[in-house]
Amino acid sequence: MRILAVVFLLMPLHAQADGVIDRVVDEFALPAVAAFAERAEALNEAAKSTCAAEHPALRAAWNAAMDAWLGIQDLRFGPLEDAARRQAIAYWPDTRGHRERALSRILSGQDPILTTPDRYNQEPVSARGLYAIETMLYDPDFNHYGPSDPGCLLVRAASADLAAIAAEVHNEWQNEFADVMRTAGEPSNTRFLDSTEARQAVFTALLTSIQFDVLERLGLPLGTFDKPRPLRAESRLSGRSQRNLELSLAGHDRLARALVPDAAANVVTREDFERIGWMAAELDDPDFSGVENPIRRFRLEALQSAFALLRSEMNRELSAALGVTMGLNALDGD
Amino acid sequence: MNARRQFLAGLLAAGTLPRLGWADAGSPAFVAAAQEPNGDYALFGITATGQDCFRVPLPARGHAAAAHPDAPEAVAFARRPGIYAVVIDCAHGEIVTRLSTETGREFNGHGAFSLDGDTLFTSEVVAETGEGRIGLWSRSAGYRRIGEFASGGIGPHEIRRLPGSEILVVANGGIRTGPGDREKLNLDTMAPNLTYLDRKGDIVQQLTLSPEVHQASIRHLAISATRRVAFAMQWEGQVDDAPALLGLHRLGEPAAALALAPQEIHAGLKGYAGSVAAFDSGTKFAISSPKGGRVHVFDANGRFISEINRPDVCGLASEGALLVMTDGFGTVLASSDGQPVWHQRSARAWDNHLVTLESAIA
Repeated sequence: MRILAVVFLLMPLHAQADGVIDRVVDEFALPAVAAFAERAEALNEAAKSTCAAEHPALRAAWNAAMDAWLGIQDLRFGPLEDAARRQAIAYWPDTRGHRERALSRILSGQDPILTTPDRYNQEPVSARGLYAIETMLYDPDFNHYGPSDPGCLLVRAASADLAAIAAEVHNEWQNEFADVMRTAGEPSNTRFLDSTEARQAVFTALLTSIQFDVLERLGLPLGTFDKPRPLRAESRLSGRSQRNLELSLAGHDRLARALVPDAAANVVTREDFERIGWMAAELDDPDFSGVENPIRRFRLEALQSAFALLRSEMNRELSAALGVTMGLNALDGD
Repeated sequence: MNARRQFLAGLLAAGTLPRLGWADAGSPAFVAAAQEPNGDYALFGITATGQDCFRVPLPARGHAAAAHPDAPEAVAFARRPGIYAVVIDCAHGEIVTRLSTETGREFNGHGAFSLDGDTLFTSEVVAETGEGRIGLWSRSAGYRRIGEFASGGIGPHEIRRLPGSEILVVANGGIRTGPGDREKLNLDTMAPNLTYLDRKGDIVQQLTLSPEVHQASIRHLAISATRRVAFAMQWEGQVDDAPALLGLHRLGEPAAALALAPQEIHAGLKGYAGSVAAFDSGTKFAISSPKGGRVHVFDANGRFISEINRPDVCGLASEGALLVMTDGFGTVLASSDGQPVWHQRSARAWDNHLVTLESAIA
């Protein structure tokens, strides 16, 4: 008995071990940020070895980094939200062509940044990150550069910059923020003021991410029936709009399972994930250009409705299971 | 005994029996509307350290409130398009009377009291056209409607009175909505403005935005200790194209100063500011973005100082040098330089606004 008491005293004084947060941190966040850092570094290495836009190895490395990003985009709290890192990694949407203008300015040589590529992090976010590299590799207006052209230097600078941010995110999650989440409610914790706030942040992030799929990933290209906007589809250039959506959904699914592993506690949410996963996989519309075709458009609209329904069912079931609520303000302000 | 009786008689004769003041309501520093776990709505009085001091049930979802300058009385407004406003006796936790709109008018969620506290001004629209009106109600006549004047634009939202004066500041949001609903009908042509009105409803000054940012709906207001008006905007254009969402202006200045964080940080607001506050003696201003889950803080020159990450944060108010925030998870949090100083949590979802009572007293 006495030995047991001593053992307890030696344990870290966490306010209350929260299995939910432990699962989110250990099973979702840490492996995902590690994978993203690894893929971003692999892209950096690939770009160093060849910057040729159509080289299969470089494109494969970029696609792998993009895949890994979709595995961490739901972490809308902590290192990704500090220092505008989310923007620097994934500045999208960009309906006004900020990206093309910024890249053109840099490539024209008016901006000497390419002579000091280690300062590429001072460039506007529209010229940084995954989508800027996508433009350089896939946009026919940008991807005809040779090995000694500014385009090559830009791809290398942007890839190194991306790898550096990804490493920062990984490092901060691993060495700081995981503990910040686990110590929610302790007096020294200024980020999560009580034990529910960490759960609340994860739950809100997940619902916000699904809303992003509804309004941006699907909503932007859908536009209106009279005015569809196929050019606004995410990753249209690389023809992976559908893949992004599928991976986004898969990430939500993993995070939801980490939050509430008990299938009986979220029966409808589980069913929704399964059905929507199947609907998305069956789309056969890699870049969402189907928004202009009435029949294919109908499938995208149905998918959008299904995402919205998932969000609402998940809100109901997970909030009950987690003892948290969705606030009134984020979705219907005034 | 005799002396005491004489003293009381004297008081009665002079008609100066002490009336109830805000201290009798438990000295709230703020009021805010909330949704409770069972789905009901209520208005709460909150002390300067975040404790509840009264609760009054509301008939439907509330939005903001106007606090009387000295009587413990607040008028709570329904969420737009409003079907009710209720006058609440905060000392006894009772609804004193209800205000209903004139035929064809809708409340828009905000109001303000005159300097002497006898006239209540309400932000309203003509339901059919979205034209803005300021409704006038006489408190001494039992909140009878005594008139109205034009707000100076379409879709007025928040109105405030400049402290120490009778000048009203009106955020004419510019958005026309359908009667009885929230559908936005004129986003292509909307033209918001900030209008200063005198007691008669004549325009003292009107500020418009430059044409390229005409889709920035001016919606919420805060007035600093130095009478600078801070206005918060909500961008109706493409989210990635959002301009500054905070403007600073002093009556008489030809134009407003616009304040925004560096582009990549600004993007985190998602084009939406839900509330605005001036704090720390008018040296700092803050806007909240519940959509982005963050608050941006600026100095008096409109320079960005810092951001605070809080999911679903919306209500903002000043408590001396502290910035007080409410969110949809029941937290009232006071912070200084981005660090928490105290917080309280209750099982309720705070709605959009945290209304400071001090600002009404001036």
